Amino acid sequence: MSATLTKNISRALTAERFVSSKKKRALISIGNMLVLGFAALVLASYRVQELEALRLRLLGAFLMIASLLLILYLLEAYFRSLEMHAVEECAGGKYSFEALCVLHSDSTHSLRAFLSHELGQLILKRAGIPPRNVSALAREREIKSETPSVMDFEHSASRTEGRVTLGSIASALSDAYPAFAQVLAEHAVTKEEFAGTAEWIERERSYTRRVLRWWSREALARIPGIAKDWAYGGTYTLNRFSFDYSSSASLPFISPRRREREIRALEAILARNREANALLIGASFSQCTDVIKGFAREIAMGAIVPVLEHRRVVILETALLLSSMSERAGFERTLLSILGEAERAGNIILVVDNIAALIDEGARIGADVMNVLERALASQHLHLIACTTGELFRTELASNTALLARMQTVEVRELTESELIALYEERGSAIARSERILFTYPALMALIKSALAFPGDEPAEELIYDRLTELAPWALAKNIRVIGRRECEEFLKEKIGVSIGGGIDSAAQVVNLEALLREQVVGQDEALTAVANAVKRNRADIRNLQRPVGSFLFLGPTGVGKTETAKALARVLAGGEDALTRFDMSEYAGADALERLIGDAGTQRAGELATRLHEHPNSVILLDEFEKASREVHNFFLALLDEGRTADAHGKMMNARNALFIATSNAGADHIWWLTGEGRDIAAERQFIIEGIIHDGIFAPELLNRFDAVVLFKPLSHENRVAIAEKLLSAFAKRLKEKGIGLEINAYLKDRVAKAGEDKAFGARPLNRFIQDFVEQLIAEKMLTGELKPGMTVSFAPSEQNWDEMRVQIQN
Amino acid sequence: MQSITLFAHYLLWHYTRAYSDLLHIAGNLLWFLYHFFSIPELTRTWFAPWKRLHEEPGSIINMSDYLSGVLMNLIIRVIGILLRTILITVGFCILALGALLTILALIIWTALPFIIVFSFIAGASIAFF
Repeated sequence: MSATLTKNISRALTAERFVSSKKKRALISIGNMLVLGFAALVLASYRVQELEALRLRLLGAFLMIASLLLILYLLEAYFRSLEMHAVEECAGGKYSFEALCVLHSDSTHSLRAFLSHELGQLILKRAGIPPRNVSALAREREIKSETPSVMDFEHSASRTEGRVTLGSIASALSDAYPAFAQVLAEHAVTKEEFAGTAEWIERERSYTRRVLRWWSREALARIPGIAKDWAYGGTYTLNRFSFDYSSSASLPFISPRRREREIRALEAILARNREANALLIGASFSQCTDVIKGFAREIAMGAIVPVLEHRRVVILETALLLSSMSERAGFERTLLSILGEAERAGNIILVVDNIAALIDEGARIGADVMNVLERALASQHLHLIACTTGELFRTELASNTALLARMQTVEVRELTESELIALYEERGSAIARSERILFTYPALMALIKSALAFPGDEPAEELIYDRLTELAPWALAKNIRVIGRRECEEFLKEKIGVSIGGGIDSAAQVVNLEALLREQVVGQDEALTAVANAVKRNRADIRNLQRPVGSFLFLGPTGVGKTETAKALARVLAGGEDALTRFDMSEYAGADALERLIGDAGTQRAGELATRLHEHPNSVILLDEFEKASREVHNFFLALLDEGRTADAHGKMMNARNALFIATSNAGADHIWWLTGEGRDIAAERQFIIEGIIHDGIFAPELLNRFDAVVLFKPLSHENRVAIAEKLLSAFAKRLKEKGIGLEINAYLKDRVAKAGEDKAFGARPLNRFIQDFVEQLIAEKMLTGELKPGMTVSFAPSEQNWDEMRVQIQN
Repeated sequence: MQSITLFAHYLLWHYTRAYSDLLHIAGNLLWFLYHFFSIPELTRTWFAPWKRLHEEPGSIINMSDYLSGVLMNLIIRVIGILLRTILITVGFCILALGALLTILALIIWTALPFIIVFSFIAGASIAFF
């Protein structure tokens, strides 16, 4: 290890090693109890006669124990001071203090150092790996076999901005020790997850350290002072309908900074001389609230431009105001009074929590809210932030030019994955502390990934929060104390029917998918293998969660089993054909095709695909005759298959990440016929067929690339048709058997039915029709005339004159 | 050996860096008290009207109305000055107390190792002799 230690850091590390924090805490607790005990005994000796003789001795013992306890406290103060100074010194250095603590606990062997240090053990535990198992295993496999004295961790510090932290140590250890990596793999913990867990522990330590420093200015600044508002105007009406975000209880303390971009944008707008008004547009109101809280915290901490210092962020509760006012004059008077007070007070940043509702609901009782607001918005003295959602902005506010002329919009972006992790590490820890359970990092990641991959109507952060809050009582009800990835996945599957591993299917069925499909689809072995392989790839936990569960384009002539394969997939993967929704894409060729799919904001019409995905995100969507859809529709699917989600016409997110898309098309059928006629293998000519489709302009190459697999279906041979005929006849025989009549499926019947499908243009479709029109018809006639009765068996044979003409034979 | 080194380092810290740590903490607490009593804000707005209350004096032609308005504004300001003066005084008193306590803490800190040794020996002699 190449870190050079200063005297301070070196002493802090020695002190850290000298007494572990667990021992220190235990000693201090024992000392406290003894001192209290002896103090109680000394006091009791004045009342209890038996103790009177011992009073002096008790007092002596009390003094001795109190002195020893004082030494412990002084040592604690000494260690804390050393640690604080060392942490400050490390802040700008290459190694974090925690990283140094771990590495210096055993400078001869990095892995042993990690495994024996309490931080290393905590990381293992939080990663869902029992530390004892790992220590034993890794020691056995690694420590005895090889003893690399020191390791260079700096090369693995790229993910932590060049600093060596617990995260980079964890990452480097799993790289350097294959057996240790193997142990992690055995517990299904990836290198990234292990490093993430270590970073979580490091952030938590830093958080605890800052909370313990109650004397820091950061902590003391949270306590609100007195008489802060003596120099500012009173806000008596406003106070009745508002909530003060600047009060300490509502401010987040020490949590990691987020939404920095939005907070700085608000700061720039509100620091203006006039029209200092911002319109916050979030995916939900809680996103806006998060920004407002962050902004209020910046003001409380003084990390803001001087013109906004000491201001109170006060949120006007629109619902409360509207519910209290039922008539126009009173409402307008109150609103004017609120705005006037906020303007005159001189220290108010007024937040309207739902501006669209204020305008809309105000209009219902005849009030012209815009007229009232307009004068206030133009004022030099009012600082106003209005909140709205993207949907309300589009439907209610986008056309309000008067409002938009006075306000600058700030769009609240979704949190990134790393921001979400930091946020939910903190919340996860808080819930875990209060419920006395343990959230492992992989569980937290599964929760975050599920929200990102299968989003609902709410933004990801709210979804995660709801699920996290529900997860704790769910675990407690099942007596689960450690929530790992498996428990989390079980919870998600139970609660919301989402499987992170693979979406709508179950692993056992996927393994046998090919065989299951072959039972239902005849003569398309290569195509079925291609489909099964693509589904297996998706299901093996390596699929991209940002895309649909699967997307296939089935190409081939009519009646060769494309739709049947789609139905079979729906049966096998989604539990039945009910999950399959068929869209006849030839109906989506007109100018309004896209509106029909995703809705129309103008006419408020809901889209057919949007409705299906909103109601059943686990659907199997069959896009029949996909080539006939308009170019616009093709482009829409290009985006949907790529991202797995897109907004419908009303701005509501359509989530297709848990759906399976199957598009069928006759495109390339001519080429397939020709190649088959020439006796060539269509699988080998695949490229030629696809290039032909692109050349004919039927599908753009980028659209073809979006599908997981483009599967070619070949024309059916006579043997295939015979097999299909047998399958169809068996189904019919089963129905007849319910009436007590037997059907003998002989070679003639199969051949005759198969012959009906000889027309290449229709594939196997005429077979079913032939069975209905001739076989069923003839049997029905015999049943009606009473010749065929229950208990009898019917068979078919060719008539003597004509092989094609069928003759019915009845046996008792 | 390690214990002896630790003891030596401890004593060095106790009589050097610990003082700067203590003064830093005391400084933070005094800063807090200074801001808790809003001393900078109150000093800056010492003569401002109480809660920005203001009575429009009206036209000078109607002398009595005008004078009553001026008088009202004067009273509002006097109330503001009085209340601010009281709070600033209380704030400074508490600050002075805080400063005194800091000095006391530093004295106790200096004597603490001796106090510990003394109380331990005293305790032992009372208990065992």
